[in-house]
Amino acid sequence: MSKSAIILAVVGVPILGVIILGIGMIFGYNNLVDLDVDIDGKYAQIEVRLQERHDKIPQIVAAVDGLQEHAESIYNAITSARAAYASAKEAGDMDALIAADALEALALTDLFALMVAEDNPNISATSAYLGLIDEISATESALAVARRDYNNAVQAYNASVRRFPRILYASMLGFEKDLPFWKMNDGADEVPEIDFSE
Amino acid sequence: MYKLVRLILFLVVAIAMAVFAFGNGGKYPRPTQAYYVNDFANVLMAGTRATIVGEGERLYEMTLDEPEGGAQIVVATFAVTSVSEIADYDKTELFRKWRIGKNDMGVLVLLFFVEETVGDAASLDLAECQIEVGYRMEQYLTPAKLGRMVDDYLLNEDWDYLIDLGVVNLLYELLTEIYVGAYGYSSFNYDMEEYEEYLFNYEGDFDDDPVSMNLVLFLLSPFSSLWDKIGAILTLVLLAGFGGGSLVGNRGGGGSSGGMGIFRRRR
Repeated sequence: MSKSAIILAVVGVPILGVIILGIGMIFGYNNLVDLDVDIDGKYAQIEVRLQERHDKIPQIVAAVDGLQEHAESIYNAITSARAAYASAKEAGDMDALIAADALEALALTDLFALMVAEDNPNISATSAYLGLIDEISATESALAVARRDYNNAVQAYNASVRRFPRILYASMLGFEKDLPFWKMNDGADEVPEIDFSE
Repeated sequence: MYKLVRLILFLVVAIAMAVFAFGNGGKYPRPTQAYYVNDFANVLMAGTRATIVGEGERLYEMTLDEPEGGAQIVVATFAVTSVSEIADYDKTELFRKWRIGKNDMGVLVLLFFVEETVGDAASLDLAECQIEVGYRMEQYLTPAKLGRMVDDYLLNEDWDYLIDLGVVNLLYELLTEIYVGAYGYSSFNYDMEEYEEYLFNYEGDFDDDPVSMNLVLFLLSPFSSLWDKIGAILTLVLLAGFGGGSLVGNRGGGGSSGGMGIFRRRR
């Protein structure tokens, strides 16, 4: 082997390795950025749905005559949950937002049970009233989808960031290794069933 | 050697096509070739299926170039053995898989039928209706509106004797809301009495099989060359790749949805 070939091998191979590693890092970095941006989008979608629900709750509470007197515990639960949501949103605290989401979901489940009770004298099955139930039920359904989409995005990100060789440089480039999921208590995110047609 | 290669290629192409054309594509079926109607429960009359497809194609053509994007209404029926089985279906997943509506301007109507037996006679009765709307369609078709439409038109007692009329009445109301509310048309007129007459006199042989059997038979027959087979497969794969899954015919506009819509169980 000639001297120049040896020099080429000694210098060229590491340079080639660095280039390949660099290209790999660029692709890996861009992929992580895409996944991170996707999570932000999904998180924003949850925020939109939470706000929709927050705005609709007063309408539905107003539609149930005497809720404050006849179902005080439900009324109080809804009021506390709404206050918790407003406070968490203002603070920008994700854990508090998740807790407030669960509180609102549970309070609404109780309210739903009250509303669809056939012999409840405080409700009347007007079309406006049924429309409100459809609105809130749909928002709960959309929230469930938004949470699922967010968790799927977080799962994809967490799995990607832990893969080799990304695990070697992800934290160096400022990527967190274990993003939290949007966890709800069992059953809290179930969409209430509407069953009163005809 | 050439014959062997040709035989292997032919078998690969035939198997790939069979899997591609007839496979159920995972948890949910692929949309039919007609796309706008997917009568998997086989409960709708031919005239109803033709109307759904005709109106679906017209709506998409009329709105495709609008800034909001092309609207698509897709109707699917499923037969289930019990009401609890309906929980296995996720309307959002199905909407996303079928990619309904351009710029998320889609509507998916799911009708679930359960077999009821009275004496020796068995029939499929509507058990539940679910509607999912695309992200952008949410502002035009709110859950309250959808719930009212289902109660007043699909489940209208006037149509108890024939579910087709309820389905088409719901379709026409959705079209009215979309044409007028979303795209600014001055009106959308329809007459259910006229439609009833049309339906009972319909003599067409509307066929919405997922794949044209003539094409399959031609490709598998010795009358088509190897290049015919490969060319057809490539064309079909390309067509399917651009659309919502159907091989030829109508396709989804690439839309998505976020779970907004309604569930309505019938007692």
